[in-house]
Amino acid sequence: MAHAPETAHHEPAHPAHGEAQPRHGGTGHGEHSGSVGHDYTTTGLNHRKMLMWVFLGSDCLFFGSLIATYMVYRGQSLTGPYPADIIDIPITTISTFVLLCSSFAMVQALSATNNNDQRGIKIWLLATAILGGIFIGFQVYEFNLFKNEGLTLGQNLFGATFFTLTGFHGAHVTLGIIWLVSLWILSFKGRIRPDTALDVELCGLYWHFVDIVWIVIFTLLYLVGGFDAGPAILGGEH
Amino acid sequence: MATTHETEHGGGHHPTFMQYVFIAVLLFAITIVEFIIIMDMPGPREKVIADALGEPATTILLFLLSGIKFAIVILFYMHLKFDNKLFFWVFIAGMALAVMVGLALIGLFTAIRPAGGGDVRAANTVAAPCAFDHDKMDNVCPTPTPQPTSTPAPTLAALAISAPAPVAASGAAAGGPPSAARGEQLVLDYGCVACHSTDGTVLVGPSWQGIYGSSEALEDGGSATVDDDYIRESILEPNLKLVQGFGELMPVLGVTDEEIDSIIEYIKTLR
Repeated sequence: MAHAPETAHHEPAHPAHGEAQPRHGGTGHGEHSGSVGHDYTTTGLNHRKMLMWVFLGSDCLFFGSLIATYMVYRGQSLTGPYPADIIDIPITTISTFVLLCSSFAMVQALSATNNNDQRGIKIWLLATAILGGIFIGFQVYEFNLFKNEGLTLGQNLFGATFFTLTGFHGAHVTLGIIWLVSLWILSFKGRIRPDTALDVELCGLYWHFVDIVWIVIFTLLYLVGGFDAGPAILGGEH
Repeated sequence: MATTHETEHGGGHHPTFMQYVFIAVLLFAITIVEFIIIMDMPGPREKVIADALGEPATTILLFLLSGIKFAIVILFYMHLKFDNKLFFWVFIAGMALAVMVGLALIGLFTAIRPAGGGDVRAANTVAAPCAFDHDKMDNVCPTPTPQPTSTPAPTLAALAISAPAPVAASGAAAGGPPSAARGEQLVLDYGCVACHSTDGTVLVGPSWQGIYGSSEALEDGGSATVDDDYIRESILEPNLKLVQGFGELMPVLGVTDEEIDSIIEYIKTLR
C-alpha cells in the first residue's frame, strides 16, 4: 500500500528488464507486471509477493503443529464433553459454505481491481469482509455453545486442542477481516487501482490460505473426528 | 489500458468470471458430498455409505475430497497454476514440512507401542521406570517388587507410580472366579492407580488403602459405607456419590461386571 511509486510501470528507463518479466512470470499473475516491474530482485519476482508466500509456507507449519497436536490427543480425553456430544456438523457445514463464498468474493474483488471497476472493488471487498464476519459469528456461537455444555480450554484434552486450533484459525480470519476493511476504506480514497492491485492480491492470498486451513480443520475435526466418544485407549482395549 | 489488459494478456491464463463461478460451485458440490457421506458415518444416525465402504475407506474418501478442494483453491483462487513455479514450491515446501512434522508426531504418540502392550502414555503412567542398558542396547525394566511399608514422599513426578505388588500373569487372564490378583492386574491395565494410590497417599482420587468397609463423607453432605455395591456403583457411575474433597474427574471406563468383582476383591486386600 505504501508503494505508490510502483506506478512507474511504464517507466522507459528499464525496458529490458520490463521485457524479461513475463518470462519469469515475475509479477505474479501477470495482469500487471508493471506494478512490480521496476524492482530488481535476484529471482525476478516481487519482494512482497514472495514474502507473502514464504509467510504462508511457514504458517502451514504453525497450523500443521496445532493440527498434529489435536490428532495426537484425539480420543485421549478422560472426561467429557467428547466431540460426539457437542460437535454440530450441519451448522459447521453452513459456516464452511460461508467461508467458501467469501473466497469467491475475494477473487471477484481482485478481478474488479484489475479491471479498475471501482464499484465492483467496493462491493466485493465488503462482501468478502462481511462473509468472513458471518463465519466468525458462527464460531462465536459455537464456542459459546460449547462453553455452556461444559467444554472449556481446561476441561479436557479435546477442549485444549480444539479451542487452541480453531481459536488461532478464528484469529487469522479476524485479522483478514481487518485487512479487508482497511482496503475497503482505501478504495473510497481511490487507492485501489490496477497499478496497486498487488495490495488486493496479497490480501487475497492470505484470505484463501485461511480458507484452505479451514478445509483441513473441517475435515479432521468435524467430518472425521466429530463422532469421537470417550477414551479410546484406556477403555477401548477391554 | 486497465480494462482491456486482462483480455489481452491474461485471458489465456486466468479463469473468467464464469470459470470462477464454476470453481465455486464445484467446491460447494464437494462439500455437500462430504456432508452426505459423513451423515452416514457410524454414530447415532443411519449408516448407508459408511457401511458399504467401511470406516477406513470413508476416512480416506473424505481426505481425498478435501485434498481436491485444497488443490482447487491453491491452484485457481491463489493462482499457483498460472504463477511462477517458485511461489508454488515455496508454499509446497512449507506444507510438506508441516505434513511431515504432523505425521512424525502422530506416529510417535500412537503407532509406536512399548514392549508389553499399552500405549506410550499408559506405559509412562503405570509401569515401573525402565533404564537403558548401553551394553545390551535395550531397555531393562525391573519387575515390580512389593513395597508394603516404605513409601516415597509423593511428588508430582511420582504421582502415578504406586509400586504395585507382583501379579502372576495368568491371574489376569479373563474368565475364572474373581480374584484379588486379577483385580490388581486390572487396575493397572485400566490405569486406575494413576489416580488411586494403594498406600494411603491422596492423589487425584481417594486412596484405596483401608477404604473397604470404611464410612466416607460424601461431597453432597451424606455418607456412604464402602462395600461391594458402593464400589460397583462408583466404577459404573463415578460422579454419582463423590467422596468429600474430590471432583468429578473419574471417567467411565467400560469395566465389566466380572472385572469389577475382581477389583473389589483386590481393594478388600488393601488394609
